[in-house]
Amino acid sequence: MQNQEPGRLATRHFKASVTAIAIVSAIGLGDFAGAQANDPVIFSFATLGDSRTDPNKPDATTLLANPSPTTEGGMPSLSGTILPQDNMWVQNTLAYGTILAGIQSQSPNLLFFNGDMIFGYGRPILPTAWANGIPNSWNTAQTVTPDVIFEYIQYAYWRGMVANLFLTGTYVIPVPGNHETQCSYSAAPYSTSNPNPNCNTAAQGNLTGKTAYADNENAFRANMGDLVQDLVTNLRFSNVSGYYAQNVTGLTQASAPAASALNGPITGNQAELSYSFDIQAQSGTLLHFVVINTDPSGADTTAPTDWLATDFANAHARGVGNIFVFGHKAAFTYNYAAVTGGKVTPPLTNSPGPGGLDANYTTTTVNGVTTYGEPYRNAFWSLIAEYNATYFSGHEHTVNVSQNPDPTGTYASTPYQVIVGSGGSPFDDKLSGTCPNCTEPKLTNPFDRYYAWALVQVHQSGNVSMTIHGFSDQFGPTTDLSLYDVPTLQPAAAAATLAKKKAKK
Amino acid sequence: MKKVRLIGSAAVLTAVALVPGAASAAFILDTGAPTGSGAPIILSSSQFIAGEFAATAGDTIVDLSAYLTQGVGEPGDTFTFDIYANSGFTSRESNRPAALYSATGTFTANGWNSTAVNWMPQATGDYWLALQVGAPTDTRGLDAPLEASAVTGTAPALGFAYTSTSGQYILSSSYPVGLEVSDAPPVPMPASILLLLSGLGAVYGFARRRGFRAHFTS
Repeated sequence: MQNQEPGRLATRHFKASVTAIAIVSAIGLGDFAGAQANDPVIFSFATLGDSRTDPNKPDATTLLANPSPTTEGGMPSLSGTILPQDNMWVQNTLAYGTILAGIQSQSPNLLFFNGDMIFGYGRPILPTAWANGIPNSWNTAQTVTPDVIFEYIQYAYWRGMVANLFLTGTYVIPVPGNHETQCSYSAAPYSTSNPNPNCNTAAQGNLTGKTAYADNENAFRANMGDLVQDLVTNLRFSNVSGYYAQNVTGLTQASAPAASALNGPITGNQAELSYSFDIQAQSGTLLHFVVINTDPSGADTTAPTDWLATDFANAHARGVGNIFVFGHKAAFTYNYAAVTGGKVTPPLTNSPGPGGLDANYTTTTVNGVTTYGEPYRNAFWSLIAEYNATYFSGHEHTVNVSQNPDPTGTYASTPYQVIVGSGGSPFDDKLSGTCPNCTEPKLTNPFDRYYAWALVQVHQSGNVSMTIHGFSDQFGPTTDLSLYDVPTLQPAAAAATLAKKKAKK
Repeated sequence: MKKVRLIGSAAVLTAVALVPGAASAAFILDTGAPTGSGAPIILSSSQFIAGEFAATAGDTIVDLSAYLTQGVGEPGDTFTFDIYANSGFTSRESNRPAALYSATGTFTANGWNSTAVNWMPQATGDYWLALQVGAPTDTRGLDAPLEASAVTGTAPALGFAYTSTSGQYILSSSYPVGLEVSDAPPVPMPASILLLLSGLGAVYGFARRRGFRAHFTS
């Protein structure tokens, strides 16, 4: 070494340095490549439901200590009053507005709102001449019931809240909920002692206290139908979402669900309440979206399974690889009270709570032994399992993600059910005790009292992932509810799986 | 020959020592890698995150880092590191004094994501390092995992904050995230440089006397 020429020594040192840099760089690059694979998002949608509040029973965490501007106006309380604005238009404006801001920052192509955008629950009977709900056909000689005003202003407020999304690339797809389609004889502003005169008796068709009416379905069409029709008329759908809706069905009564064995005894027109369409996200990735009315007039708490079977089969024939279904009521009620031994899952319940499609059950008693069955729900979920679809719902005012097997045992897949009825409605898991001395309940899952939404992303590889985002009832920052994140909601091979859907256990 | 290599190494080390920050950067904010169990807070165009630190006039900030995971974003997503004076930081967004320094951060992988910078505080005091996003096209949202407490790491943050939907920062110790700020001490004073140069001259003279030059010109 000592006899080597200095120039060559310098050259060797240079080479050694280059080698060392290369090794260090390689380690660094290797670390990067191993740590984070890049699978770009080509399409995404957000989904949630239930933003309406309850003027009589808002969640206590949304109350204000004193709305008077001369004292402590606007301070949070557990014993104050509901914000007058939210009492008038029956929205949880703070929670839902915060959610919409979060969704806007994620810039999804679509937002599916899974029902209960309004408190509703009235019976908005319109004059016959107004049957199609077009305002410019109205005249001053005609009168309407108070429920029309009550519900239409709520629709208008909700539409105003989502209006800005259209300006930033997110198109809103409405899903009817029971608060839109049903009349409750005792819901605010009525009560059991002052019931709604238009739906308070069996003679008026209300047998259970809450019943869907064609009048309510007409009101949904009148206030939301333009968003659905735009899938075909395309006045703005493609400009906003960046994609064209294809193979749209369910926009007429003839192509929408009607009464059948597994659709249930539907009586009203389901056009624009149950409908479907495709989006070609990229070559080889054809997505199918289906909206269903789970409380159609004549068949409360059902899914139109016969109609879905035809719709799915047609989609499959077109080469659809991924199916996403949006309805209001869950197929499997989430038992948020499980931690304390409570049961909210029908038919055996010991605490009040909203039931999903499984609340529509039959009983059979043989030799004094009663057994329960859920024929509508089971047929529905078996179809979901057959096509390995994903079902998003609301109704329960909480967030929950679960995988559920085919109850009939026919198909092997365990599709996801995603409940995101967490858009601002009073949480089902109530505060314990009497407010203002109430406390947070013991939670079955840590996010049971979170306002939340789901973001589903379709990646270039074809993989479909889902993340849940939200914030607590204390209105802190928005967080990633990673407990519920699903990296592979539907795998890239979903198309191939779908092609083999007939493979049974 | 050994002496030649020794002298060469000494010269290189001296040069390295003279480059501000290259060999002596230190954390003035270091929360450590997050180990908390809470749900990660989201960094997006609708929600920013910030941590408070103290800096000394004349220091040179050379590196800003944030501990982030992908969330619903992607590698290559960008955000900004913005340094604000403490005064007025929690004002309504429209009243908040402009950032004293801004640099683009790029999300590359889960973990520390760093940007080399060169900024000197003009006054000794408290500052805020804010992570901000301009638009959803920069990122749909990155996750910032939570620290186990608001006082972690070798140089704990003095405070944390996040923005409400109005864009106004809300102080909160309940949502501490992983942040780092590295600085270099003040550059050497002229007297120090003179002393160093005289030392180097002595080394050179010693080498020349031993035939150093002859060796390289043979």
